[in-house]
Amino acid sequence: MAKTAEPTFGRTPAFTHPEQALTPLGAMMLAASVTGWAMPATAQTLPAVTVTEQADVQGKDALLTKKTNIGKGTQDIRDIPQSITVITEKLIDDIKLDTLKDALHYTAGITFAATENGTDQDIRLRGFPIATTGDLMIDGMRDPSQYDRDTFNTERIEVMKGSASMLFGRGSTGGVVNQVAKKPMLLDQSDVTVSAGTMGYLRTTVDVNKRLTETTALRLNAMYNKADNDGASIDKNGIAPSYSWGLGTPDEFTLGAFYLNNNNVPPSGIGYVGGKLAPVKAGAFYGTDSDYADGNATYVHGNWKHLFGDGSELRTQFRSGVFERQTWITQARIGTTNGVATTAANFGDNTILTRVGLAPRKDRFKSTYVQSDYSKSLELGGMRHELLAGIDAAHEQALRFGGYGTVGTNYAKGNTTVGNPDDGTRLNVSPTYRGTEGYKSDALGLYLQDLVQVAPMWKVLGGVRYDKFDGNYEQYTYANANSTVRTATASNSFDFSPWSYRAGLLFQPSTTQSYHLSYGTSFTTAADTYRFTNAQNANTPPEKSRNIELGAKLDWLDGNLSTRGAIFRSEKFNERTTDADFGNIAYTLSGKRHSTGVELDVVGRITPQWEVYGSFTWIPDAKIDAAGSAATAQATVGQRVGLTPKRSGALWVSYQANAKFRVALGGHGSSENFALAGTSGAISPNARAPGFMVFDAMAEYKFTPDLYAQLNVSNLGDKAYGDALYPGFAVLGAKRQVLATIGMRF
Amino acid sequence: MLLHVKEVLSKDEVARARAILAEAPWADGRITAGTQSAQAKNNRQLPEDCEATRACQQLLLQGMERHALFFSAALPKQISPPLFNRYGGEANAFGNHVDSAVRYMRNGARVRTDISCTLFLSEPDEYDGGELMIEDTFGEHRVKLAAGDLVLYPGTSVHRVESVTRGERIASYFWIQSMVRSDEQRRLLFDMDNHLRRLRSDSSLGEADPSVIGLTSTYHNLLRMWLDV
Repeated sequence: MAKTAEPTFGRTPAFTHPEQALTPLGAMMLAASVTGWAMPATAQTLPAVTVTEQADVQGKDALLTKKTNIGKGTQDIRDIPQSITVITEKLIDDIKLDTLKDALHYTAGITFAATENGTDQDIRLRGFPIATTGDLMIDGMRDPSQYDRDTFNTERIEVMKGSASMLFGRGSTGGVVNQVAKKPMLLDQSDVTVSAGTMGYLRTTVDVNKRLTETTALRLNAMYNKADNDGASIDKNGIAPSYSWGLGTPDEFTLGAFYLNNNNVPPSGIGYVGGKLAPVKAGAFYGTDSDYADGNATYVHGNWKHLFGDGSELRTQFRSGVFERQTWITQARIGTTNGVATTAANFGDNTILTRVGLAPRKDRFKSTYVQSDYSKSLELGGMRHELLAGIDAAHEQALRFGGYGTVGTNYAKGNTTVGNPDDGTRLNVSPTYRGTEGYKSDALGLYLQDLVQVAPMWKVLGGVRYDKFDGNYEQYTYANANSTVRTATASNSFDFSPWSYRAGLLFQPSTTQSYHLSYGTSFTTAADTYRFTNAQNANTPPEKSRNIELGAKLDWLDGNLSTRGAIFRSEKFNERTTDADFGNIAYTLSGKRHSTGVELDVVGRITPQWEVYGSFTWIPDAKIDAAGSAATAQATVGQRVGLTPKRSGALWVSYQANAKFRVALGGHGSSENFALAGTSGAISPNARAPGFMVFDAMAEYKFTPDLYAQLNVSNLGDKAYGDALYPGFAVLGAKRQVLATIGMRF
Repeated sequence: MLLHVKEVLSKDEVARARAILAEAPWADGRITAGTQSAQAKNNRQLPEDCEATRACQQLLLQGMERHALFFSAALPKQISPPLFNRYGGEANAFGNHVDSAVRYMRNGARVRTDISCTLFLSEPDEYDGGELMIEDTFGEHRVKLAAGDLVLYPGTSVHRVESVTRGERIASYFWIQSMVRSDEQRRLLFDMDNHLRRLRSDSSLGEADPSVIGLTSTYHNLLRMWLDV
């Protein structure tokens, strides 16, 4: 009888002393599941004991997080066979990373393209676009419009590198950036911060969380931010209320709204001098007071999480919103110096800058998304399965406008000189707009993924997704340059039904080690990107990519420190090797390219005093393998891909000197970088921005646990560096800024 | 069941915890008390989210993880993050109270407080008074343990901390949601486990004895019957 109980008695080699073998029965089972003590594989084990403390640390309080929602459900980062970098709220607060762009500066492998439409978020990861039109997420659901994202309602930012169309549908060649929004919690906690600093900087944020009943809570985040920035001003505000009910019950609901309004004067672009960045001072603004990048984002969202009796979970969410944006930005072209052509040698305060207004742009984007994700753990065929399945639907609609009449395109805004930045010029004209393009699309996706524990240390991941994408594009033409009488509408449409795949092998010999080998594919329907609206570019097949990665995630120091590393190779077919601006003369989807590199992250606590966050990417090899269809607008085969510096990285190290005082120093930088490739049209396709390192520092004093003062200096060395690059011009990074913050929690 | 669990932390670890806590930003204890117990509470406590708290929580959780007797007695499903308090000077006592039935974690998770735990971090000779007084069905118990030792007792009991009249009493307290909800059943399992351990170590019987195997099976079957995983 009772043979079933025997395995519990199985003496493991680890138990050499008789008294150790006599661990109480209950303890043997439980302790084994907590600590991974040696146990016979056949032992009856109870489910893992949840030591709540680990899940309990808020992103506000630590740089290290071990859980992520980027894989749609909630997963341990170690179970995701891809490189993941997480920027927690603590890092955001420490460094004062006000915008998504600021935050992404602290992720290695990310660069920014300066664009003519003024968005500051044309992001590249591993050299591949993280298009605002597809690869930015909020809570795992697409956040695709162009707007200047602020972090006031962001709990953490998760960057998953490599192809992931299997999870998210179109996009994600370089990876996906997921913004995890702040949500109501069952506790009373309010945070208020006020920051003031040089260049007229004032920012205040309010984060109020109120527990209303045993299961309901309300959270309100709000932000107001102003700065003159020596001309490139900021004027924005935002509010994001959300209400949850049923928290802690099988049915949790959240309803919320979000509003963000920007009325900024964006930094101006400046031309290159002799193939190099113009040697101007950091933060020098050569635009006019009439420049603008105005926008607002308004959306409502809902979330329902249902927990079934069998432990499986269904998350359903929707988001619907309107995004409006209009920009008129200045590009300062290099003119003559004392009557002669400007060179690096004679460049100086007298160098004339001819200011050209980039074509005025305006757009209105409406989108609605619904998605349901179901996750379930089960035993099947003697193996543990983590199933994930889902369905998502999207409806997107965009209207784009261009300037016409006097301020049509490339309007001359008058000259200034290098020695006379922020000259206060105010133009007596401003753009008027007429519709140029319309775009509408419907998308549906279905996916299924399974993570199988095939042996005690081995897991296998497999996933497949089917997408159905229908797009419709219209281009409008007018009687003449000054007319609003529409004479013709050219329309194009396409539909794609691609399949995407993801496969991975995980080897987890202990709770502190996870090694992975993974393969994933992705596709991008380029036609949904800005201005891809004519037959030549709309009717070519979508870009396709694949990504192979070998990596390791290792925990050290009792799990307080995590390191992650990976070697990857990303390849893209039907690549848009030419700049979008040449879309009218070339089939833009015709090239092929690849990049191969190494990524390393380290994050966590080395001792109770020292906390570190580091991210480094090395891409020795990034080449164009095949080029576009028009000789005049294509990149050169064999050329290194633009916006893909060989090395880039970020580091942030903080030291808690005593219970009240903490200091931190960090920075980010990259090796030599250059803009998108192309052989014509752009002014200086070979212009280079040299490698740079920008340092930031912070000191924090806690008067009480709930009242602190913080002093930040960003760009300590006042370094002028190429932050965002375009073939014709570069947008330099911000100059040194000193901020003082008072923060309260109550 | 009221149980004294010895040496959850070694003296060395106690010293480490004490060193961290000496520098820590202590606050008024009423921040975590409900409205009723706030009337009774007069101590100081460490904020849940400070560096010192987290460092000491780590120490404690490691101590518990390796402590077999603790696991056997508590059969924990969830352990709430340990908190720390300090009695002495003006803030020196905590009158009669019952712990809230549920602890809300910051991530929204909840822990039903089946078991209350206090881990002493000050040696008994460092302070006068400060006994943990627990009322259960068998009457009132007076608990004052060596540093590093822990007492676990039913969350249902009324308890208080006597005034500290000299020195300082530093302790950690936290709650456990057990996989076996009933205190009585947990106690039976624990007793059975302990007796079985004796039988297994008894050289005349040993682990292969059919009765030992049979009783082990009974232990597991009871667990299966009462378990809430």
